[in-house]
Amino acid sequence: MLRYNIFLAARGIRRHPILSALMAVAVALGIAMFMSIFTISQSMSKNPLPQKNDFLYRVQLDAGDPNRPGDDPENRPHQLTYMDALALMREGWALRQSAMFGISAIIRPEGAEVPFEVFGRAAYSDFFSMFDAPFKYGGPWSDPADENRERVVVLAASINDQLFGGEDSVGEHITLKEELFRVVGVLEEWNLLPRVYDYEWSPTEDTFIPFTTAAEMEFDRRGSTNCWQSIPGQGHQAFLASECIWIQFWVELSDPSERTSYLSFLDSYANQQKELGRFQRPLDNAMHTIDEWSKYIRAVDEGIVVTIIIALLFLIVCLINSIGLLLAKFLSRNSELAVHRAMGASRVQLFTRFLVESACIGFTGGLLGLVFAWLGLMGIRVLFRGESVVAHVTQLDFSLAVGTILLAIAASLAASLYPAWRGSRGTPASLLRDAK
Amino acid sequence: MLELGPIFRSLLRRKTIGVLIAVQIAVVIAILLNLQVGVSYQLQALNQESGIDHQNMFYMNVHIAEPNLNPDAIASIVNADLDYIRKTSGVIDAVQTISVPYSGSGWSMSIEVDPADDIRPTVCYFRMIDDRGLNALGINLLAGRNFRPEEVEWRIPYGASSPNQVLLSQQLAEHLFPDATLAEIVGRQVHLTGPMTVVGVVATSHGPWASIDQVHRIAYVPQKQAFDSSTYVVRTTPGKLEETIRTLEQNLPTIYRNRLIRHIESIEVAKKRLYQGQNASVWVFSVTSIALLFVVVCGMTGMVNFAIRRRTTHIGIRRALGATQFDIMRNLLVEYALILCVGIGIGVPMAIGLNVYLVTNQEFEPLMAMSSALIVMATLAVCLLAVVFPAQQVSKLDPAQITRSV
Repeated sequence: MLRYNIFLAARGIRRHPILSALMAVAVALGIAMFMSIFTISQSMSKNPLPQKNDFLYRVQLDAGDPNRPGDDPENRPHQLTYMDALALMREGWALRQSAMFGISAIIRPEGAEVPFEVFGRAAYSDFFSMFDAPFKYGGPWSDPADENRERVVVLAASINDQLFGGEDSVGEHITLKEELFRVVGVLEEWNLLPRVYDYEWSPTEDTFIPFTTAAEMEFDRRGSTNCWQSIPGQGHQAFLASECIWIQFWVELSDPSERTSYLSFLDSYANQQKELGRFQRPLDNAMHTIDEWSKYIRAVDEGIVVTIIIALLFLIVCLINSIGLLLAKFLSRNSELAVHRAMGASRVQLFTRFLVESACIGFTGGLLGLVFAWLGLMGIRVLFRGESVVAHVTQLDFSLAVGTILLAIAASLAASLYPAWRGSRGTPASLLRDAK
Repeated sequence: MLELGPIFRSLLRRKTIGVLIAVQIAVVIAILLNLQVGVSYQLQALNQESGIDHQNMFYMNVHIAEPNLNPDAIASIVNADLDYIRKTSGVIDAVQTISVPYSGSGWSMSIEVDPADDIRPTVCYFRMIDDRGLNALGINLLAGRNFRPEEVEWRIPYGASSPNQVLLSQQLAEHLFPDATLAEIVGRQVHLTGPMTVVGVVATSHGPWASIDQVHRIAYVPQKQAFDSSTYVVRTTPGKLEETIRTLEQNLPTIYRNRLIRHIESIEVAKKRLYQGQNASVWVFSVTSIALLFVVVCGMTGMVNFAIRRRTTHIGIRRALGATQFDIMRNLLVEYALILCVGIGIGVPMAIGLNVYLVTNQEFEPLMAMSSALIVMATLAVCLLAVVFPAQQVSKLDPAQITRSV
């Protein structure tokens, strides 16, 4: 029966090739537009660490300028001062915790004349298990390494490939900022996009060193530094002791229920500081999970919402279009319908046949839509040449492809309900009389 | 004259296609008007004045690898670099600075006239330049004077130095002193990293980032930086850009060996990179608009063709009764124009509604009456074109043929 229906559908499509093609193209364009925007927004707002979402929290202490608003609507600085980060590391009781900041380091490979620059992250040893960094060789440095400011480093896979040909380099040394660092671990390929811990749309860094070591050796900072008060005194020590805000702080709790008690710990710390004359703004500390944080800092570009709305409206236009075209198609086929009805086909059979025909057009439209969506995503890559992230968020994967075709068929079926009902409504006698 | 009465009644008799066309046009208008606002806003950002000769300029970031080199040693390397670059053939002038136009990195700072008042400080971009900086950037002095060589001091890392002189860009000066002429602003006091005297006002140049309202607000102070990382901006004579980049890339390490050239990029390339997002939006919005119009015109042609063909007999009778081809065409066009106008009547409030939502929730820009009207007219015209072809076909039919079977 289905085969017969498909046979008739093919005949129907051949009878109105232009109308059918128009509809397929309309469906394809609408679907392609919607799917490509949907892909981009989906992969941009995806949390790369869903398993950690209830446990990891970004910590905010309101140590900002009492006279001026801060970086966000609630006026709370996103980052911490060095003093507060150290205090929280010392007094904090979370399961795991790490203060961190981005660094840039000059690396000098053995025997090489010309050094090159690598990006890195200064963090505490807990960092790796907090963010599920996968180790290929070795592991994180030990807790004493943090305390003793040891010159130890964890390498990303890419830099290990470059320096050691991908071999197990644990125990080897590399020169960072003209000092020898011992390799304690090498990571596997690690793609944390977005890089949730500082919310950059860039790949994870190449080297990881202890926070304390980086602060002592005055590694160059990457990321924003906000000094709302001029630094009292000169030199790096004065900078560390200042109210400058530049450190990201994350904690991992053993249970989400501890959140309130950790927050009250933060409040009591802030109150202590208030007594010392710091934290002059009203008490306003916060903790955010990764999902909450991405919303809080509006990590997903607002323009994308506008584009999604427009894509959705575009799809609606295409569907209205399809309704009209199908109506035109089905209603101009009276003679054929009349014969079928007179020979005993029921209304339900005619109705089904119309649906099958639209589903076929929808399927074609879906295939065509895949091509359009692919072209669209390629176009976006061309517009953002050289941005590795764009290549990441514009990937057309299998589930998306299947989704595109299913959506196209569903949309065409939805669009065909009314025309199919209209088309199958007439009685054989009236159809025969109208038929010419 | 236009026979609106009969047209209207015939519309009511066959509603479906008309309703579909009207609804479709309504949604299309809602989309197109808002897309147009998006495009024009992005274009406005893209077309912000650069103020500099960006085609013949580049910048390079060099980094000294020797850790903890003392500031005096760094200063002498910077001086040697600048001397070398300024002497290189093809170079008009060069400067060591920060917040390079379009580079995407720099310092922004608060500036205010009176720190004691309650007025929120203005955010501006901060550039350190020496006495040749204006020439190197190619920015004209509009009032007052340039920095003097003896005013230029060295800034060391984490040092809290604050010079006494400042140059303001025209836009920043006018923002801080809205009631004064440029000449009057010279000599006034402002508070940046400390109290400073405005010694001059300089012409427009683009800041390091692409924010829309403060992109031209720039403050210049007479400082060179004894940092291990230095950025030089170089202006070359026309056509010498690539050659100069190659020469300097090769020869700069010979002045001081233990360092690396981190980044070297023409300002033109930096500009493209910085405005990539805006540029992409313009493309995406434009392609969407065209695709939308294409879908609508195709769909309308199909629907109108069908709707008109169903009335072939009716039209044949009217032709037989004396209506001319022109009459038929005109009737059909008026009929569809009516439908389209109904669609526009629904679409414009929809567009405004969508726009209000986007403006309140998504930092979108409000609709503009003039360009919106133009777009509505253009859409109407394009859609009517979709009616012309089927209408023409049917009005050409021979009435004798059509009416034979009646």
